[in-house]
Amino acid sequence: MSQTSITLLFELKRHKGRFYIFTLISLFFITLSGLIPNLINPDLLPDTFNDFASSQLSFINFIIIFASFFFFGAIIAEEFQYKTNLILFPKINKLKLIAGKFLGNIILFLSVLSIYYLYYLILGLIFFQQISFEFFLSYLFTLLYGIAVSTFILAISSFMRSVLFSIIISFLLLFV
Amino acid sequence: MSISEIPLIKFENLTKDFGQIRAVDNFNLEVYEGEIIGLIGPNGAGKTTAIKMLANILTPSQGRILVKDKNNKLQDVVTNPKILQESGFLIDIPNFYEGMTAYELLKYFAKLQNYPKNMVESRIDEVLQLIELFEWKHQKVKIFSKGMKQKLGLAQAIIHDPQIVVLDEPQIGLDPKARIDVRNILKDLQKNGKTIFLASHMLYEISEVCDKIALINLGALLEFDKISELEKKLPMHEIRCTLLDPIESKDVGPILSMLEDKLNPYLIEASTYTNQQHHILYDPSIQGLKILYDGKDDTQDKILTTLKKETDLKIISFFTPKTHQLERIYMDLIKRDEVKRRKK
Repeated sequence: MSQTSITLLFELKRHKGRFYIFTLISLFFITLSGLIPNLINPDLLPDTFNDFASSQLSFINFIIIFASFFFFGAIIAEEFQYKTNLILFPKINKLKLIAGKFLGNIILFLSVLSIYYLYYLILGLIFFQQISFEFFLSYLFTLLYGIAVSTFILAISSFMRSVLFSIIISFLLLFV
Repeated sequence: MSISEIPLIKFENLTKDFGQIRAVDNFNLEVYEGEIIGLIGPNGAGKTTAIKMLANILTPSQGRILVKDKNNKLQDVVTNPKILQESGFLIDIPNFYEGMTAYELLKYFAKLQNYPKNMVESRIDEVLQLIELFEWKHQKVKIFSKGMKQKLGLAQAIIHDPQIVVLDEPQIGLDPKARIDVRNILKDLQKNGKTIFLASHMLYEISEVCDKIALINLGALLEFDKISELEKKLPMHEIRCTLLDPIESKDVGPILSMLEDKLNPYLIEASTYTNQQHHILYDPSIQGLKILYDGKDDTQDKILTTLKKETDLKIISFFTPKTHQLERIYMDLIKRDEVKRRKK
């Protein structure tokens, strides 16, 4: 097994807590905004699945930005801030370490986004007994946007020696 | 050149500059298989920088570090970093991913270093037992004390059973028992044929385990030899003489004056080398005398004979303290280097 894949598996194990937290936040939000109100009062449901999805999916932007800060903001900076680099760098090529860490985190991050969409897909099947091609297109663009944001934050993280600064700078650059 | 004559590690004209500051200055050193080498020097002497270059974390400004491969050829660690797979490093105070357990971390490190998959589990148990952290195997590192983290740092350095073990201050933050444990671990590693390169401020620990001492100051290697050989270069030696009965405070002055007269031919001008004004001191805490003498081979016998024959003191032990030997070597060489630099 290559050093990159060993690191990838290690990262999956290491950050499973973050994965659970963001998945729970997503499920909680969807349950509150998409499931419960429509179960209590079915008149609130829009006419089509596309209308339902477009009104509900706006929260995904929040998930993408905040989850990517947590998953990617520290990838490189933490090694210097906490001096874990002194343990790791004699053992592993730096590029392989970063590749393994990025791939491990991107799998968890994209899984959060996928679960978010899967929940809406299930709701669509429950409430409308149908789903649309646009929904899948939206999912695809969300994944691409998520990868773009996470790569941007990773790049910022590589210039920083502090996790906090890395997150603050990424936040400012994305929002200002 | 026979195989045993090829060094396992060779520092060749190693130099490292950080801007205008020269952290390591033309450092040359050869380490042979099975040796324990102690690297000592004041803060900022360049010990950690030299070790970081050996670990390929820093790149030398000039010179190179060579490590012997399986074919007995010397390989540059910068151009051939894979040579370091047979080495284990503990640099600085170690930090780990705190949310992981000791077991998870050691498993990750063992896999990264290509340790045989079917032996990883037993090796983790073996190493954790060696460092006495086996009961903590599945505990998260965030609850570990500083000393436990230090032990785990040692564990990660040896988890893949490397031929070379490089340790930077491995006993820092450890309690006396843990320090003795680490000392014993190092001796065991040496018995198993490992080569150990150790940087420390703890001179006693160094003197207990190391075959040779490399003393550096301001990046330059001042001396590299066995402690016994370095000691011969010292102009001043110390003997301790423990007494059966304590000397009462009112008698200390007269007794010391009397002793200085009788032992005068063998004593040296103490103030030249230390802050002390006298050659002989009485230390109530050890109930004994500290005598600074000229270090000549037959002088110890002459001092002991004089004390026995010409005084009423009842001597129960007469010895040269090992700790202080290395401390004095250290202080003397650093002081001489500073004088030399000032003259330049």
